Amino acid sequence: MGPATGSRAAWFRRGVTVTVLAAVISPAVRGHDSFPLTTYPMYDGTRGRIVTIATAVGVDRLGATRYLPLRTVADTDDPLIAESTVRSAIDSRRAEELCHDIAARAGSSIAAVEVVDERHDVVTRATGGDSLLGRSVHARCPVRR
Amino acid sequence: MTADDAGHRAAVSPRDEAARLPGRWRPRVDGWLLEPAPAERLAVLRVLVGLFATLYLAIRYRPFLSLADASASRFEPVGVLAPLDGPWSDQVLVVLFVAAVVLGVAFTIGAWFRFSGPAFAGALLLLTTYRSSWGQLLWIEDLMTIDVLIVGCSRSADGLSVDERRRRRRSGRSHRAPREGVGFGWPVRLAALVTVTSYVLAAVAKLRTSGLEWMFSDSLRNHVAYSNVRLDLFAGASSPVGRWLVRFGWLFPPMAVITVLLELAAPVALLGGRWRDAWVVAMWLVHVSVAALMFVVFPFPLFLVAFAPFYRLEAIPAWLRAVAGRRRSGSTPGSSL
Repeated sequence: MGPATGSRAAWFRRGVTVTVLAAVISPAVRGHDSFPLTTYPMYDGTRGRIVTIATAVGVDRLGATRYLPLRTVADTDDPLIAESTVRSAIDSRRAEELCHDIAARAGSSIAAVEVVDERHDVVTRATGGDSLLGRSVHARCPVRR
Repeated sequence: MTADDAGHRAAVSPRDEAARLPGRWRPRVDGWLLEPAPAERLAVLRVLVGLFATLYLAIRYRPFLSLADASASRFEPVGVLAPLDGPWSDQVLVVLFVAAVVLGVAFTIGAWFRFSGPAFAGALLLLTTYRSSWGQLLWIEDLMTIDVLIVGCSRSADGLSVDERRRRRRSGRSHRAPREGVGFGWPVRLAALVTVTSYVLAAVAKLRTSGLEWMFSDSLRNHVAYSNVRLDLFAGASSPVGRWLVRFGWLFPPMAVITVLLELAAPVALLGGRWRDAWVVAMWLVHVSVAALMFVVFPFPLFLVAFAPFYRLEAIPAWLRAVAGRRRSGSTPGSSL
């Protein structure tokens, strides 16, 4: 490689380096999160100990409720995806549709499914206490046998 | 000017001389960014990121392929897929996924790399972007994807590869010719810069969104408690260590301060030596703690692949050859006596 070509290659590499780094930084500058260029917002907010969590519960024939596994709720093994699926269904008024999807995946040991928002004191719950402060039911649907 | 001054000036190399000129940052930056490296440095990075990404896809096949059954109403395309009107058909998803795994194997072993390198990088970008297009961005996959893009678009199969072996066979050479060049070092440096930038951005995000409160309040404790309660509410197993530690609220502000300071200090990893090692160990321990306390796993740094560009990776094959050489010489009849 001659000097002229070498110099061109060096400028090319400098240019690509600056471009790639500018691209990586750009979401933070623009305040727009995307993929794979992101603002890296994992756990960046302050969180209080009272939290509203979107989830789904199974209701048995006696009316007792129990939480449903990730696979049943959102066909995933990631709780972040599961909660985001339920939250987005509630926010976009698709809770009924999600409820039927969950009911189709749920076993026959429950009689109905409810898509809910629950308010918890997370520190109390994490340390084994009774934490439920409130529950709003956004959809309820039967489990077909 | 004294004779000593003149003698000293004569001993200064042209590169040092250039460093005294206006804009002296450039030779220093170039000296680091464009430092020639052996082909094996980039080749080892190719093997590491290729192996990691291919295994990641193969092990996590279900979350990728289950998107075929996802409700189209949830589809919110992001990144390069933003122009899409709707989800891919099941066939497109399955074919792309299988192709990505096959290309990932070719990428890792360095076979037909001129094609398999960019093709695997492109396929991985499409698949991971698609997975993040259902209402939840998956930050655990972005650094892996960017690293594969960097390595896949560079000359990373000029060493330790099927392509190199094929070239040697054609030319009739039996030994590896040691190769060195800027083109083998620069992509590794670029990957290192991206890793460092990502950590600094993570700290900036915390400070920008929450200010100092993120460090000096109960926020981190509540995040840990929240992650565990969320697992509970989806009938999953939560972290016994995290739940136990939540009792000790005073522990969390110091942990938060250390986390943010370590993220901001990421550029010290570029200095090399003990600074780099200390930062890598400390940051790795942060990821281990997050996994232990919250069951939130960032596999790319947890398996150290994210930190690989900070090191002279050519030492790995050299060490493996030395071990193999010792074993061979140890198994000769003379030495076994």
